[in-house]
Amino acid sequence: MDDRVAVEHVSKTYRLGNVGVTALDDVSFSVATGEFVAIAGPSGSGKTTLLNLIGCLDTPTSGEIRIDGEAVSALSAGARADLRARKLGFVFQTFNLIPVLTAWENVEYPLLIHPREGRDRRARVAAALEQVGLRDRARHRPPELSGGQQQRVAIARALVGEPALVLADEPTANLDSATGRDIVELMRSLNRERRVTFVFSTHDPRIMSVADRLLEISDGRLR
Amino acid sequence: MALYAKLAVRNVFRNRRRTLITLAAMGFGAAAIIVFGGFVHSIYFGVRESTIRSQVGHIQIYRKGYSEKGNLAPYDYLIADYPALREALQRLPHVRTVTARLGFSGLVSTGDTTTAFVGAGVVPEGEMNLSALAVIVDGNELASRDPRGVTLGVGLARAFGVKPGDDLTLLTTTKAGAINALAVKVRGVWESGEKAYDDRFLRVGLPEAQRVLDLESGEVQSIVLLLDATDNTAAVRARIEQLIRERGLDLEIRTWDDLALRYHQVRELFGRIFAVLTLIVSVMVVFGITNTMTMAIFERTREIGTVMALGTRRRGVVAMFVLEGFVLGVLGALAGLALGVVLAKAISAIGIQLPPPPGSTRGFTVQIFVVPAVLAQAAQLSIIAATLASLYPAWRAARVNVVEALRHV
Repeated sequence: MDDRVAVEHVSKTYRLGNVGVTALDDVSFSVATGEFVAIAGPSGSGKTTLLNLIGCLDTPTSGEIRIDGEAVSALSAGARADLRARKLGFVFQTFNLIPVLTAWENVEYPLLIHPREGRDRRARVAAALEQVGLRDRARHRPPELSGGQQQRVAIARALVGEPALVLADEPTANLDSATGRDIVELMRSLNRERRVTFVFSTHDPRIMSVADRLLEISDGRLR
Repeated sequence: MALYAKLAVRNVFRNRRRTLITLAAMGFGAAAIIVFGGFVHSIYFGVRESTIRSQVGHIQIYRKGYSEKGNLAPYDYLIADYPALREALQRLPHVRTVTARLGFSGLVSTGDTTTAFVGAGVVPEGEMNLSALAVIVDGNELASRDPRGVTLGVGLARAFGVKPGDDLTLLTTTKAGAINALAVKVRGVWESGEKAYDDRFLRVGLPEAQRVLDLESGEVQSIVLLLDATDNTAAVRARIEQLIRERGLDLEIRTWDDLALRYHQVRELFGRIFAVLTLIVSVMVVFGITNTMTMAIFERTREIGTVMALGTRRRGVVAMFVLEGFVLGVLGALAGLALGVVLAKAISAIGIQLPPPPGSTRGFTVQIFVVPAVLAQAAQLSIIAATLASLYPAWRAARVNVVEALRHV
């Protein structure tokens, strides 16, 4: 089986006071290795919820999600944390670097929380920074970097553990359009050259057009 | 762990102002412990040394059974051959002074007024070193060449309105139980600083006491030893025990630790006050750290969400923040040590005068000792309290919902 991600009849309902709000309603799709998939839809359509579920940050109300064939909904919080560290990379809209760590240390972080990666750690951090073109910024802390540079560091951090899948929630939303395009091109070239599987959400039409496949979502349903 | 330690240290210095305020609070708390603890130890030392040097000496030797039954029948438990013992004791290392005492009590009278007294027959030359803190305030010390001389505590002298040169009569019972009287002349008035002592006590020469009690000249009640330093007490005691065994003597030994009741009372009292202060400081540190950590965690909610998304387990988040509390504790301890030692030295140098403590008639100058054990205690308290206080905030941080934490602005 070549699917990196399989989403099977997933629904997610939140409770807001006494009212149940359906964020996702019976969503099914799969992502193959090396795909570059965009999830598009207006605000509140369920993009972020879907990414959070695939990212094992949240659990579906019903349905199942498999990462590399492994069903995740029954896993404990600790097991999901380990799964995230092993298999997933995250890129956030607001970059979310740790401000007290340098670019190098931020990229190194995922390798340190799972000591299995101890071997040739330095080489991998250096390579990840090289790939995003920030080898010379390794000693800088996030506040000393531009938004685009911070997002590149975040991408290096997502890639350094060689994850099965990188999830990016609106990675360009906090960047100007030129920088946003650079980031998407960077992701695209990493996808082409290194076969990194990407699933990202966006509402920017120009970025959607770069994707291999576009999943449009509205009111919690795929169209 | 190295990663979390690095994060902890850097995060401590992230909000410098808040960290400084927290450290200042912890530093003052630890310094308070160091200063008060040092003060208390100087009081312990003062009371110990003054009791030893003005009353009990370092070691006392009695006939076996005296400590238990001597109160009821003091003259049944007399050391028979003081001069021979004195010679042997004086040859021991660390022994500075060997002297003998003979306690008795009775009534003292001017002819018009009469009151009870507690008296001691002492060897004037031997007693000089043992009365370091019973200062002659009027007249002179006892002297062997003035066998009829008596010295009185200042309270007793005042109650009678007597001064050096005045005549007094001491009434007491002999060893056999007969009433006997001794005519004496006031030679001096002393003040020990301890009111109960100053109001009741008088001293006469040992031969006079032996005579009025109808005893042999070698008979004494206690032999009192003064050493070069209090720390040598145990060593000298062991030597004396050896001596007693070798010679097959019928003697028992008491050290200042057994005899200085007031010293132990003072320790008990100040020990409790010190414990209360320690508790107050601990509570202060706990609240300070809890507050600081809670604020830090609130501000860093999104970071917590991020590191958890990257695969940090909950216990990793707990470790991160508990280590941060520990680092704050260590820094607070260092601040406290520096501040405490400086304050202790400064206060000692200034020389603040305090009024007489209860049961005493003399004021004293505040001395703050820098005591390694107190420094260690203050440092330990800062570190342990800070680490424990960060446990709950850290646990709460680790319970956050990752999705909500990532949304936190």
